[in-house]
Amino acid sequence: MFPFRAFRFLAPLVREQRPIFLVGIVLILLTSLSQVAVPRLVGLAIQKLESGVGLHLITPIAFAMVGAVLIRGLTSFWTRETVIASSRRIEKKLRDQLYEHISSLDGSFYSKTHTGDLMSRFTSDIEAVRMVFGPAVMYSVQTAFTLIFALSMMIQIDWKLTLYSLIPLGFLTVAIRVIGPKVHKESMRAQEMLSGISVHSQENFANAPVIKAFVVEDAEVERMQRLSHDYFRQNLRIAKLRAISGSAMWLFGDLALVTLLLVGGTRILSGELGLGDFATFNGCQLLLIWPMIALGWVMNLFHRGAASAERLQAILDASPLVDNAQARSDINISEGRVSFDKVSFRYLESERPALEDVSFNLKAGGTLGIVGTTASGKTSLLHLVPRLSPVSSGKILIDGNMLEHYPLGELRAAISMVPQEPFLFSATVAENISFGVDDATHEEIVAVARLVRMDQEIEKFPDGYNQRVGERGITLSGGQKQRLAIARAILQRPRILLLDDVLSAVDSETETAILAGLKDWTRDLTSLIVTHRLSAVTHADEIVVLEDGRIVERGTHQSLLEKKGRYDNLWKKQTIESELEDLE
Amino acid sequence: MISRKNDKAEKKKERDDSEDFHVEEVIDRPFSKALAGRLLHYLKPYRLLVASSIILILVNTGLSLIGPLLIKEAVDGPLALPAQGIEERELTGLGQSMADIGAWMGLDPITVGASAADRAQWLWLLVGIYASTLLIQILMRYGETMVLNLTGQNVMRDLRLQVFAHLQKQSASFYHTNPVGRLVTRVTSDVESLNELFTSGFVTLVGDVLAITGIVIMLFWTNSDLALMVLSTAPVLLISTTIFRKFARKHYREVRRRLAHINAFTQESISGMEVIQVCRREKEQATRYSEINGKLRNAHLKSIFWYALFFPTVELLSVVALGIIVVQGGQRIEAGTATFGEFFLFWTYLTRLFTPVRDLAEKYNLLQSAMASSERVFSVLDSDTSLSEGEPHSDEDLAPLNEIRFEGVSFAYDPKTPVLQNVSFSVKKGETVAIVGATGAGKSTIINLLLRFHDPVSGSITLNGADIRESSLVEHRERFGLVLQDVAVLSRTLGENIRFDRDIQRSKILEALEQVNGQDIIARQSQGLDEPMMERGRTLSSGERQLVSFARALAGNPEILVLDEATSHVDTETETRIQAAIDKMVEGRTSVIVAHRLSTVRKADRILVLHHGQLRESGTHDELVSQDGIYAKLVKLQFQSR
Repeated sequence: MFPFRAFRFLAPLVREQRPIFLVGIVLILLTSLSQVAVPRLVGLAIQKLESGVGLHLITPIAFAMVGAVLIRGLTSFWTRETVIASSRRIEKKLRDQLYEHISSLDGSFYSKTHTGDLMSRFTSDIEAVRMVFGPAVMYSVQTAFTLIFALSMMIQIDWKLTLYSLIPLGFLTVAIRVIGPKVHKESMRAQEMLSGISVHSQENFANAPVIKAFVVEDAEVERMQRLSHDYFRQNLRIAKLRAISGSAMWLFGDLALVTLLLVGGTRILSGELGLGDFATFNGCQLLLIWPMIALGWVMNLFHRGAASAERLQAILDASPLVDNAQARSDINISEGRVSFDKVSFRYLESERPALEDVSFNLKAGGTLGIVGTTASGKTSLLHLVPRLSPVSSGKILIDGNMLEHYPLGELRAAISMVPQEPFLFSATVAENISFGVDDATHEEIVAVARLVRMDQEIEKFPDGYNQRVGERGITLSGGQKQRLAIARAILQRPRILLLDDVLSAVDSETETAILAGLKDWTRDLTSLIVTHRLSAVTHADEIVVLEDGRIVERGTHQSLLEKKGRYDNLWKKQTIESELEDLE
Repeated sequence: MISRKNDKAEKKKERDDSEDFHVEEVIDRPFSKALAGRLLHYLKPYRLLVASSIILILVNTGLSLIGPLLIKEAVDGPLALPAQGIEERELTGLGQSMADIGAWMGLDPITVGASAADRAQWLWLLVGIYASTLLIQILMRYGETMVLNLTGQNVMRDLRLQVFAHLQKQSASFYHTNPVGRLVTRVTSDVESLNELFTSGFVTLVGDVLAITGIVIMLFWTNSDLALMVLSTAPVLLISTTIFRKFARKHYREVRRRLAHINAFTQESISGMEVIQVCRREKEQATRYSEINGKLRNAHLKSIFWYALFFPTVELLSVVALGIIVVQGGQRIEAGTATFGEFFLFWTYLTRLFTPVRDLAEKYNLLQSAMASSERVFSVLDSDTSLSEGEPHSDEDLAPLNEIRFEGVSFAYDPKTPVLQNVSFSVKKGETVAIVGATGAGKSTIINLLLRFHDPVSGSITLNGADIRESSLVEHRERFGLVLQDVAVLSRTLGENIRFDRDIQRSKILEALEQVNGQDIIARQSQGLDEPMMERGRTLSSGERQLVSFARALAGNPEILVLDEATSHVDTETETRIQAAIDKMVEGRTSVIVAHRLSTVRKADRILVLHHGQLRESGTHDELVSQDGIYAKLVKLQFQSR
């Protein structure tokens, strides 16, 4: 009935908590027992009062009741402290495991995964699984025990009456079980609508100038009105379901009492049932209302949790295509020679190759310039070198050895890459610069900051090198972010440096100075530079022009100009801007 | 060696500090009358709904009190043992009414010797009444939930639209200082948490208080002596609830804070995974993650403690109260001052008393976070940066464009760093003016001032001789067609992206696309103009995106075209197409172009050379070349490079 199979991969995590879960189950057993004792004792008291025999026992009975509840209080306290706490521990470990796993996945995973989707694995899916091991386990066991104890007591008194009063309670479970998934489904739709509202607001606010220039504010408000109205109606649809299930809970809970009053009353009249037993019955029913609701709820939790567990498992099962399977321990990168031999690369989901038949040889300390239009494969080429994505066919050699023969750690230690979108963590400036290095001294950090011409700007920040950046810190300009990202890369003293159009927001004079500085910082630094600004690669040993993943022109700056082809054309079309800067 | 160690210790400390995560926003606020008053204001249009929800709650609370009373009547009436001597029973309230109903239905009153058949009839009557109150109740409860939701959803929609419409009126500088993400939160989740307040906060709070009051009254009415004894547990309950509320809130806040932290960290790691992997920081990041995760778990564990303590405490108190009923009630039954029915009544009411008391404590947290949300939403509504403007003209009065003139215009976001200084120039009808200059020279600022996204700090901009600050914003902006470097492609269909919410016919859209040589974009989409666009127009090439934005500007047939030429490179073919499209667009139309390509500049009627916020040169291509200034040098360089 329950899709337990979905949770199987969590067995190791659950096993660690097993002793605690067992303790929890014993505690729940005691909780249920002491819980059921109360109506029994009330019934007993009424019996004594009714018959007038053993009246002196009333006060002890009352104390026994309080005693039972004290036990129940303690056990239910410890149940939460064991079962729910265990579920939080499982949650923590699962989240750690998931995080560690995604850290090992490469471009073949990330190119087809949306950040938002992956985030919801970390938030709602983990929570749904946690609910299974916490509240769902706790309430299902508790419901089972309470049902067993309460029912056996009720059947002992009168099995027919038990049957009658169980019918409305059963409906309670069915009602929750039927309406619950509907509410969940409609809530997911509402969530989608809300994210529609969020996207509309986001696009509107982010493009405020265009919206204003075209004077379409009113139409934008109207659009929002439509979205809000749809969302409004969807929410009312959910409210309707909630209202139905709420009334059903009320109805069936009280209907059980009505049944008891009628059937039990009739039996009292015929002398088959005493008032004390009637009271016990009444108490048991009051006890059963919540477990019967919980039963439906718990079933929904199991199903929702199973779906989430499957999604989590899919991610944990994804294995990186890039691994150390072919690694050898006897080689290391000393020179930094890079060569591509007929390299092709295709993203998993795409039909068209991103790179096709790319070959070049770059000597140690050499510079390769890579130019080309948007989406011509420049970034894909860079990503192959530190094996962020695996090569589809062909070979990449570093110092004459296959890329795959280097242990991943060794390879990446020799390579630094600055991605196109400079990425800064919400940490301090110093932490961002020293991100890739274990024990950078302050002097080293300042030195690389000077190299990228950021030192004076950093000193002007209110907190200098301890200035936080990002959401909770200061906002940096595009050029500042780019330069910090370069500082981070060169502090690692790589043999091979990969720059992906990283100085587009810096003026060309500074760019030239920074690039020249890099060569002084690390002698014989091999660099692969992707750029839109041709002036950055005029001194490169070789420049390749990419179009649709293929090299369409290659040569030095001078030889390419002489070819009067694409490169020459691009060179002529260089923006006025950069030359204006050169003027003064 | 020692200093190195110190260094490390220093660093460790630094790191701990940086881990002390600060949530940007206040999570809760104590209840404030002023805020509540302002929120209540939003209920005004829904007075009727609110009134009916209060009536429904009153009726429902009343009806839910009847059940236990009927059980009491049954136990004391038909079910009572013959020995009890029922004829001596004083008939009060419901008992009397029951007797009346029974008499009206032809039932004999229950007496000592009443037959089993008589009693059964009475039992059926009571059960019938109980069942019918239940039926009424489901309808009423359904109505109550719906009315409450209707109210909450209406208020939420109104507030959301109000905030959104208010934001539409703000000046461009407002968007400059407020991060988009934060504004989106105001419109979405903040408004959302206010809905919670209206549907399960305010009004149900009333319901809970009513239920408690009702039950207490009934207890006193039935047996004031016993009621007093039972309610002696109330102060303990109140105190423990208060303590719980205090600690639960503290831990709730802690959990929220830790949750925000871990989510931010995860998000950041996913976006920065490339950097993490190339820098080989996977282990270090995973360790930090595990630390943050551990703090979250600990926060959860602490809050479990308080919940684990609170629920059994409430339970214990309710059973202590039950014990009191058993002992005291028992004595009174023996003494004849109480009945078994009253015993049942006390018992049933008691189970219903503790639920609303427990709810109240939890709703208090809800109320506080809603207060914080409302404060944030109101602070957006209270900040008004809309620009002052003149009255709109009637259509006939609106003169066609003759001349736009900048006179001594200066502008700065921050007084210390001027962006534009004393810039004067004019654009006459039909002219094409090109603006050239390095990054940061102030080119885009001229566009911003022209469209009145900002007002100049000094100097003035006039259109047909009238200061643009004195004309209506709509009329002023409607004269322009704007093309920005970064093309805003929104997630709607291709056609809607060109139409852009204006009243433009489909044929005009196609015409505009044709004018910019972009017909084949439609052909490439499987659904043509109705093809939905991805976020930021990911499915279009950058060249296509530019053509779409050209078509968007042209479709409105603007008097003045304002164009910020894109710098990014596209393939040669597209480049030629874009160039041709620009030539076609500016022909015979007043245009202001921020130019990046010499070919565009050469054809302009006038070229403005900006440098460090100042207008350094101005004239035609030939004039400027002969001036031998910045522009002349530039042209020379371009020739050399050929």
